Amino acid sequence: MERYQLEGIVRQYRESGTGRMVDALRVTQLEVKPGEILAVVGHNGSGKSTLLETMAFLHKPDEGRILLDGQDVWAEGKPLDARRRCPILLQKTVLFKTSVLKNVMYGLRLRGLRRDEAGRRAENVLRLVGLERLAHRRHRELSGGERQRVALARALVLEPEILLMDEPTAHVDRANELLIEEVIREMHARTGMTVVMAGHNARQAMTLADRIVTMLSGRLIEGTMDNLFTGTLRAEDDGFVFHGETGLLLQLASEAIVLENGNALPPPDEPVQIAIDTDLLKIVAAEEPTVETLKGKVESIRRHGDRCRLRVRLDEGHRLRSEMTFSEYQRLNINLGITVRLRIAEGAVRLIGTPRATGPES
Amino acid sequence: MIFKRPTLLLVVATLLIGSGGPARDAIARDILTLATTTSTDNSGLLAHLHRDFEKKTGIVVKVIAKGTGAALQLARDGNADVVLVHAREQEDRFVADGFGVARHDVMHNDFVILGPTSDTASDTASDTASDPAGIRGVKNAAEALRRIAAAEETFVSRGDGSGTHIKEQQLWRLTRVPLQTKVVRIYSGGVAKEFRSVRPPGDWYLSIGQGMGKTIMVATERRAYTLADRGTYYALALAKPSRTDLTIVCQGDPLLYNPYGVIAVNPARHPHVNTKAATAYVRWITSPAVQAMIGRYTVQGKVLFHPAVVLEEQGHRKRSDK
Amino acid sequence: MQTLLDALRNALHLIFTLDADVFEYAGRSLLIASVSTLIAAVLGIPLGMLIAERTFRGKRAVVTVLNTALAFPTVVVGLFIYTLLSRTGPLGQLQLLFTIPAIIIGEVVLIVPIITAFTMTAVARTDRDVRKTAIALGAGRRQALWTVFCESRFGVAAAVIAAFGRVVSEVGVATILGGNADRFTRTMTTAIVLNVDMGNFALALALGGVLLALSLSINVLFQYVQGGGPD
Repeated sequence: MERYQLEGIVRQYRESGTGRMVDALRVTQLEVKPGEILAVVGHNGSGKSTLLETMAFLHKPDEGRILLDGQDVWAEGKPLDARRRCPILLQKTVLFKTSVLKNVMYGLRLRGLRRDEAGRRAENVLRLVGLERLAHRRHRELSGGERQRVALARALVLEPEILLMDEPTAHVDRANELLIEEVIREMHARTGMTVVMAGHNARQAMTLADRIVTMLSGRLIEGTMDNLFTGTLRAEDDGFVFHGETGLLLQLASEAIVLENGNALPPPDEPVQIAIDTDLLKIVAAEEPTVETLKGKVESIRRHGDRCRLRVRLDEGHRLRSEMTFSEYQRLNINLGITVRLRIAEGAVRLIGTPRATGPES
Repeated sequence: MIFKRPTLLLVVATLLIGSGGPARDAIARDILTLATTTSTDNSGLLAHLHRDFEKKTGIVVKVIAKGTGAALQLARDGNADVVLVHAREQEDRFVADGFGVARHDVMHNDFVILGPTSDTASDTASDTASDPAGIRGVKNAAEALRRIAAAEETFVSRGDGSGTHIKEQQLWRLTRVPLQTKVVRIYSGGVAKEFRSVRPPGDWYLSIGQGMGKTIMVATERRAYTLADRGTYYALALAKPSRTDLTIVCQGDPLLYNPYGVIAVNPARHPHVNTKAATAYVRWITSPAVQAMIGRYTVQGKVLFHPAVVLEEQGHRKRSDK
Repeated sequence: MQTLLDALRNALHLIFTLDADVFEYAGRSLLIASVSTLIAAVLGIPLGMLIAERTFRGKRAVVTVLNTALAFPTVVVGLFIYTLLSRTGPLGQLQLLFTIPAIIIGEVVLIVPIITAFTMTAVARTDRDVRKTAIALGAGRRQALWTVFCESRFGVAAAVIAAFGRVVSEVGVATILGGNADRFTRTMTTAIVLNVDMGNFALALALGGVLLALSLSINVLFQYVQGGGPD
C-alpha cells in the first residue's frame, strides 16, 4: 500500500485590495499512513478545502512537495496519474446532466473502460449506496442526500487507493449521513483504502477516524482543537499572561506553551491565536486552588466509547472543552452543574500565530 | 414538423449541388453579370427577354439591379460584364474613360410626371387632393415642376443618382426655381472626386434614395408628385390589384425621352470580364428579332419600351439614328 | 385588414401549390443559413470555450469587442466584405461578389461573434465546478474540456439556433453581397424587400409568412434533435 506525505506545503493567494500574498495553507509535515482514516477538522475558512484539493493534486502548491509512494508527484510531472489514484469528493457536489448510472460510469469511461464493463461496475456500486433503483433517473430528479450518494458512488467505483472527501455529509439529512458513514466504513473494511475526510462534524470525526488533525488558519495541528482564543500574550516573571479579546484572562506557566512550526514568541502587542488541547486541560478537584487553575461549572457531558467530553463554563462566561478517559471521569465523580477547577497542563497551549496569518515567512 | 431529419439533409444536399447553389455559380455554367437599372428589372422585360438569350446561347444572365449611377460604378470596379442603363451623358463618359467598349442604342421609353388625381368625377371629397398643383394638360415638363414648386406640393425624388434622378435634376435646372447644390466629396483610389446634386429647397421635396418602384409607392402613400419611367409605372398601375392610384399628369415633352444603351465592359481595363458573353449579349439585344420582342412586350396591353430599331409594318426596317 | 387576409390566403396558396419560386428562395435561404451557421459554429464554439476557459491579459477588452460585435449593423458588415470582394478589392481575384459564397462569408462574419459570445457565457456559467469535478474524477485536459462542452451543450445549442435565426432573417448582407440577382442570390428576405419596393405587399407578406413557418420548423427540429432540453 501507498504512503502519502506532505512536506513544507505552502499555498498562497493575493489578497484583493492590499495585493499582499496571504497564506492559504502552510503545512510543514503531514503523513497519511496506508489504510488510515484521517479526519481534518476546523472552522469554515480554516483551509480544509484547500488542503484536500491540494492533496488531490487539483492545484500545484507554491512550495513544498507531495510524495506518493515516495515519488514527488509534481516534480515528476504526473499529477494526472496521481489524481486517478486519489479521487476527491468536492465540497460542492456537481452531478453531470445525465442519468445517475452515466454519472457513476464517468470516471471509468475516462480511464478507457468499455461501456458494458463500466456499466456493470457502476451498477454494483450503486447497489452499495442503495441507489440501484434510481440508476436511470436524471440528475435533477434526486434529493440532496441521493445526490451526495451518487457523488460517493462516482468516486468509490474508481476503487481509489486514497479517497479524499471534503465535508461529505455537510448538506444531507441525518439518515443519509449515517448511510454514507456506513458505506465508507464498509468500503474501508473491505478494501483497506486510505481515507482523508474534512468536516466540522466532531461526532463524525470521532466515530469514523483513526486520527484527527485540526486546521487553523491554514496550519495543521495534531488532535482536536476546540479551545481557541485570540488575544495578546505577555511575558511575566515566571510565565505568561494571555489576555483574550473577549475578556478571558489566563495565567500560564512557561512550560504550558509549545511553539508550533518553529514560531518565535510574538511581540507582546501583536494579537495571537492560542489553542488549548482538550486532553491537557485537566479537571482537578474543586478544593485544589492554585494560581494556574480556572474555576467553572460543568455544562455538558458526552461520552464516546471510553472517552468523555466535557464543556465547562467559566465564572466569567467563557466555555472550555476538556476530555478524559471514562475511568478518570468516574474517579472524579463529575456531574452536571458541579463546580470544577481546570488546570492547564504542560504543553497544553499551542501558539498558532496571528489569526490572519501573513506571509511570506522564512 | 415539416421536415424529418433525412429529408432536411436531402434538401440541403440537393441545393448544394443543384439549382442555385454555389456549385452552379462557380463551375460549368457560363454566367454573364448584367448591371442594370431597377426600372428595367422591375418592369419584367429583362426576365422575359433573357429566357430567349439563355436558350440560344446557354449563357445564364445574372441581373444586378441598381440605379444607373451604381450600375455604372459596378462596371467601373469590374464587378459586372455588361451594363444596360439610361443616362446618356454618363454612358458616354464611361466609354470615353475607357471602361466600356462602345455604346449601342437598345430601346427607349419615356419619363412621365405622376400626380394624385381623382378619376371619379362624383368623388367631390377628394377633389381637393386632385392635381393640387394644377399641371394636368401642361406639356412642358419644366413648367410642370415649376408649378409643383410654386404650390409647394409634395414631390418625391429618387435621390439615388439613378438615370431618373439625373433626368429630374436636368429638368429642375430649367425651371429657374432657386436650387441648392449638394457636393459630396469621395476619395476614390486616393483621389478626391466631387459628386454634385441639386434640389429645390423646401420641406415639400422628399429625396428618398430608393429604387423606382419604391419611389412610386412612397409618392402614392403621400399623395405626391414624382418623376417615373413609364415602364415601372405601368408595371405597378396595371397590376391586379393596382398598386398605385397616381395618374400621369405630364407626358410627351421631348425632354422626357428616355433612351437605354448597352455597353460591354472593356476587357483592356478588366481582363477577367466575360467578354465573349458580353459581346454575344450586345449583339443579341440589338438584333432585329430581339428588338421585335421588345416592341411586342406589353403589360396589361400597354407597350412599355420602344425598340431602337424601327420595325415597319411591312417588315422593312431601318436603324434609328444613333 | 383585407391586405392581411389576402396575404394569409396567398401564403397558404404558395405553400400548398409548392410554388417553384418560393421554394427556390426558401431553399437558398436555408442553404445559406445552414452553411454559414455550420462554419461559424466550427469557428465560434472553440473560440468561445477558449475565451471562457483561459485567463489572459486583455480578456476584458476581447469580451467588450465581442459584445460590440453582437450589435454590428448588417449593412456595415456587408459593405466591409463588399470592399474586400469587389474586383478592385484585395480579394477581387476570387470573383465571389454577387454569389452565394459571398453572402455566406458575410453571414459568417456576422454570426461568429454571436456564437462565440453565447458559447463563452454558457461555458463560463458551468465551467468552474464542472471542470473541477471532472478533473477530480481523473479527467485529462482534453477530457475535462469535452465534459465542460457537453455540460454547456444547451447553451451552445441556443447560440447556434440564435445564429441560424439571425441569418435566415437577415437582409443587409444578403442584399449588398448577393445583389438580389434572380435565380442566383435572391433569398426569402431580399425577395420580400423587392416585393415591398414594388408595392406587392400581399406577396411580400405571404413570403414573410413562409419565412416564419420555416424558422418555426427549424426550431422545432432543433428541439426534437436535442431531445430533453435544458433543466
